[in-house]
Amino acid sequence: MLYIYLAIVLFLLVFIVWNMIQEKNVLLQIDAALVVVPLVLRLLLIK
Amino acid sequence: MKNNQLIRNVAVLLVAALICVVAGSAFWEQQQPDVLYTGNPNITGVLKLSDYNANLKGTINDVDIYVFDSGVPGGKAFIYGGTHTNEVGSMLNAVTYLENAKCEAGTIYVMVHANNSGYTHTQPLRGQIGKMTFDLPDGTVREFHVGTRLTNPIHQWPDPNYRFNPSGRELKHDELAEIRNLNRNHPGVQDGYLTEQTCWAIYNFINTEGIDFILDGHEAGAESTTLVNTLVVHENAVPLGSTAVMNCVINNLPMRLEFSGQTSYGLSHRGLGDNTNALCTLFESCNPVMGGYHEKIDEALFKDGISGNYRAMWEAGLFGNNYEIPEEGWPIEKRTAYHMSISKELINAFDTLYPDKPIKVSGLPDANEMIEKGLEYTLKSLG
Repeated sequence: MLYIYLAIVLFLLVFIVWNMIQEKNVLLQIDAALVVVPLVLRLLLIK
Repeated sequence: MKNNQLIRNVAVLLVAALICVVAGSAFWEQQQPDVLYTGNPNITGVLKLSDYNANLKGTINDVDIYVFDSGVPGGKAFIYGGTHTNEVGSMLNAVTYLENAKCEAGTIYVMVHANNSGYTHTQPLRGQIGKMTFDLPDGTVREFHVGTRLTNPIHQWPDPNYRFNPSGRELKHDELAEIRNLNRNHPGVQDGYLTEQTCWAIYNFINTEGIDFILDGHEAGAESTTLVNTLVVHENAVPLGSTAVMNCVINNLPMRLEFSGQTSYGLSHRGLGDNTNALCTLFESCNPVMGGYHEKIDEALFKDGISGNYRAMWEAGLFGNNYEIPEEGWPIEKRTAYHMSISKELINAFDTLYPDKPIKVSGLPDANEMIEKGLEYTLKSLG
């Protein structure tokens, strides 16, 4: 079950980072970057 | 134009990475284990919870159980703290036993971090510190992590949508996080969730080793008027508990006895009391951090236990006459001394009530001296 949830996190993370790179508005890019932080920490099982 | 976009993308990614490193390092530090003093020559062995549930091997909750075997056959006591990892008085009582105890008859088992995973995180949005420090007279510092009452989601995740385990507690809706609460899932499930596995290991340890009685240490907020300074006992442990509490009262320690609720499903005194032959007890000291009316949860509040809010509530008569909230608060030395005193009196009471199973302990610090001089003078230096 843990690995399924981690796969979901990774799936979301990839799309958010992709969206962040494609985004033209820097404020929305920063917004996406903030969302990335907890997802990365959970993916690495740090938080 | 394309170059600008690339530079901006790289900059945003770098900033995100930097925030991950800064935030992650704090969380990573919280996950590093406490260094305990294990130089007490009276320790005769170290067991692991995985000896009693192999599923725990390699997990964060494969914790040590320190054995103090006197060599004289007798009673067997199991004293542990760290079920709820922000209820620090219980953990420091176990540390006090670990560092000082000598068993003169029977056997004493001590576990410091019952739910070790709980020490690796704090409750989100609570703004709580993650460790306590004590400056010892020799200039060294002892550090102890402070966590939260639940297993860390990084070790047990996700929570189920519904759970009804052998504890008899039905978990649903907003109670589901309790699947990560060590004191809601006794006697546990051998191959269940990590917390259930830990409970089952404790259950199996008690049965395998033939433990005669247990003390599970806790702390409660001052508004928990039926819990503060109270020994909660399973009905089988009433003679033992009442004798211990009576001896504490004689020694001017304002303690009380409370019966384990019939529907306290999954709590140690109910879940282990019903399913093992051990006499199960649980003690709660007063810690303002555990209540709902505390001030900022900094190290001073944990250590000094001084809360203006609780003092005002006590002065307004909201807590009755069950206990006092003095100006000097409920410092950690006093809370630890209370845990130490009740555990010592339980040992003495068992020795008196069951003369065919003698159990005696020595070497523990004087409770009054502990309160007067502070834990800085009783904790051992790591050198």
